[in-house]
Amino acid sequence: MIFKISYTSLNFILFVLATMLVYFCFPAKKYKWTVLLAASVFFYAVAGYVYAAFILFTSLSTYLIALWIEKVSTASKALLKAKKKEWDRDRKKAYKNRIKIRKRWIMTLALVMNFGILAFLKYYNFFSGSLNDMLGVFGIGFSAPTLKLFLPLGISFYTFQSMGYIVDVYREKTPAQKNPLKLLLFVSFFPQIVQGPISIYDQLAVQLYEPHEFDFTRVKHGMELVLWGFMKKLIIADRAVAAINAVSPPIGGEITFSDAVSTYSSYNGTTLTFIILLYAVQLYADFSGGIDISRGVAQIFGIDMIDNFKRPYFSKSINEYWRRWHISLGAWMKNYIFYPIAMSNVFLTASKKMKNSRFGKTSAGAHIAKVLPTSFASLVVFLVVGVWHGANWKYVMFGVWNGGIIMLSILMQPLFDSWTDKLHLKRESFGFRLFQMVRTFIVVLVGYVFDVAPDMQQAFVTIGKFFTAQSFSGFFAQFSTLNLYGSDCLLIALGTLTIWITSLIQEKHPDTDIRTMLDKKPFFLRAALLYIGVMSVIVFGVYGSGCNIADFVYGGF
Amino acid sequence: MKKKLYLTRTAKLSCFFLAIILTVGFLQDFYLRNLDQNTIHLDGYYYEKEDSLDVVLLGASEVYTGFSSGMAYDKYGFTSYPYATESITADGMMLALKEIVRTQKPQMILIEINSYLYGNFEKNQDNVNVRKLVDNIPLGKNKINFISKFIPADMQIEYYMPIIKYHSLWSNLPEQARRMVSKLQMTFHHNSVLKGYHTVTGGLEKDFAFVEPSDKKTALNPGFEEKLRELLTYCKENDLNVAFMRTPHYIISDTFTRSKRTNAAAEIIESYGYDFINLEKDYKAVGIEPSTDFYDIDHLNIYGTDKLTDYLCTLLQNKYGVKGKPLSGKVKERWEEAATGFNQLRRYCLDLMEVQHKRMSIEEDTATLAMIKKY
Repeated sequence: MIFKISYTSLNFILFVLATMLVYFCFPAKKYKWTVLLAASVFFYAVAGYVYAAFILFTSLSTYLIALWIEKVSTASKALLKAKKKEWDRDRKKAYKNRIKIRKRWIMTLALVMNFGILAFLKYYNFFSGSLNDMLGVFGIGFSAPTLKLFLPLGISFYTFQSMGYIVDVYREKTPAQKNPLKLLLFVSFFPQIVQGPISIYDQLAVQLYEPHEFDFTRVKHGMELVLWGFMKKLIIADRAVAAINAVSPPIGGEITFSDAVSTYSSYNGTTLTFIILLYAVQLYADFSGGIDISRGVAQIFGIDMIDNFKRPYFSKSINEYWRRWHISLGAWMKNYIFYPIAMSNVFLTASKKMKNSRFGKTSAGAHIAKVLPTSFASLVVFLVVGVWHGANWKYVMFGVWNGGIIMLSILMQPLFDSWTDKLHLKRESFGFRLFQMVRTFIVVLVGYVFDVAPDMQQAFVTIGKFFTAQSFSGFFAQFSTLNLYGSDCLLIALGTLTIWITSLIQEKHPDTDIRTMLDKKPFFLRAALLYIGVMSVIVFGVYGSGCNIADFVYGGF
Repeated sequence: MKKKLYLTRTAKLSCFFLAIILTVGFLQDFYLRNLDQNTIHLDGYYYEKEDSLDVVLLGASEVYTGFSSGMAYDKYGFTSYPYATESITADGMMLALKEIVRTQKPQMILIEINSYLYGNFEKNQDNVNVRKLVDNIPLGKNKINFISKFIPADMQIEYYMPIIKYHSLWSNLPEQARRMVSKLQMTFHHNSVLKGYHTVTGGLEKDFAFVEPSDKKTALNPGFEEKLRELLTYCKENDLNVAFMRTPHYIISDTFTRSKRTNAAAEIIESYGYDFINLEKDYKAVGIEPSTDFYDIDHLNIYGTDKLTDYLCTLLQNKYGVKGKPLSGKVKERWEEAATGFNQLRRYCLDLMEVQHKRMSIEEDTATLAMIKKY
């Protein structure tokens, strides 16, 4: 590796500026997209050329299989047209079914190959470990080997994105891309490769291939968004991560799992509560900050990527939270997992059967029969989301927690509604909405415990400590071990307050964005705010060789 | 209309970026930087008029704590400056010598060899010590060559833009602010009053057993020997008028090997035809009293400074024929200010040591300069 090129490095800023210069000065408008492709290939090669084989394999297999699916589809349509008069209805139907099955097999081939690589690299050791534990319980001496596996940069994101494209081609929602280099750009577009957002082909590809001219306002807005992302990531997230790592040290290097457990279990309930709250701030600042940088850079080139966050901590239900948090993953899961399950014959038939049963005639039964497919599909989606977060039982539990709460809330909605009515609570009142937000936030925080704790057992111990081991004197005694100084606390608090205020403004004006609103303010005010922003990042940011620079939390997915 | 819009935008953007660059530049030079006593020592050196110094001393902290340029001018009439930083590395010595050659034409350069006496060659790569020197050298050919030769590629940018490394010092408020004010004051006056002198008022804090130096030799670490030979070759090739020395040290059993390495270094230096003045061994000739003249085992206190400065100046005059050039105007005024300043500082130190019994680190800062005026 020649030099590091993480999104928050000076190298990345220079890289983007150089790409901008070449892109906007590129004489052949029709081929402007090749500049983005060259930049993406360069970025990926510098970030880790050893992984290039994986992304090339995914791109190539996606390209070929999409073409294959389309070829089968086109050929079948042509045949049907040719045999329109010759074949009767049943024969046409049978042929269509055969083609559908054939296309499904081809699609499955792509899914198995690409998700297979992801699953093997990400989950092999988890499954082999779990298998060995299980066999050990039964006294079987077999031991599956543990492999030293590495995860190629952005593998989850580009695999999900590519497979989404394959499914869309299968569903004939989008035509297959004929140019392999254009598809490679869609898979590897550099602002999104590290941690998404997971884009849908229809939304992103057209923008990528269009020639965009220099637009001052758009470039300015893009840069402002990048600056906002830098502030979140470098001032807040990378400062808070030191305390989180002090309590729950990342396993690896010299830190073994038992070291991590021993450190983590030494903290009392109050310190752990503080850390979970801090984690909520850190995770949001880290992930949304990174996405802001990605979206800002894309915007500079005239490409609008999906907004991954819509002020998730203002959500009034866990369901809403997941519609506001990591929106692109939620949309992917909805399109490619939730609907296929909820709309599957199995569930629709089960729902129908329940509705027609004696239980289904009761009001509760009718409701359960109606929402059964969606609630079960939600549980499955969140199990997948949990497993996607990491190869560890604690993440499975994270999925069960979120999916379970959503499932329960769907199933018990009529009951909650009747309680609300009986208590004469006004659903639109500020107090009730605040209660809903706080309640949702607490549910989210409990979910975060599974992220922060070293394993599932410690996560449950932590939840127990919330109720049994609260001690402020203990917290103050332990505070010195958190690697947080007064200046850090001040900056995290000020940073969080700034995010909160801007989120409130944005929440009140959902149809516009802060940058557009800022454009209407006098030049000196805008310049002063931007000056403060830039100087804050330079002075208060956590970067440089003397600092503990943290990778993006979702960067290793 | 469109042209006017472009012009307005360009002007606004230029103003904005200029404001950022100026702020970053100011912070990088005066606040968010490696700001310590070494900054003050070297800043002072670079404020000396080109080719105005008669003698330059090169080395580590032994040099700026053991030798006073103010006293040398006051008593012997020649101008001098210790070009020295804390634990300067062997590679740093070569860079510093090149900087001396670039900026001055002294009659004599006295080189203290501390940097070559360590047992572990890793000392040469100690980033903290490298930065104490390099961060305080103005950007130029020597500095650029040093960075490209010795600094890992991924860290080089931090040498050109120190704010990348030191921006987190914003919270180190009182200490950074104190030194920023001193640096600003020195920048404003374009002159160092104490000429890089630094001391601590007091004696040895622990009752160490003094080990008498001997003639025994221990070979230098091969890496350091190579570096010393490189320096000697450079001196030869550039026909520099140099002599090498070892300042007095309070030798204890732990540092005795270093003292034996000094003897080995002397042999190498003399084989190149240069003088080696071993005042660690000949401390009695200087008049050093180990029990009273050190503030720690490596550094002389104000009593020791008086004796060493006297001894070296006499040697420079008598053996090497160093003579002070006639000065006039502002330059003369400043050297007289330096002489007065050091005499005031000495009285201040003696007051702290003998009357107030207060152990303090004394360096050129705003508070010290204000304080010594009372003496």
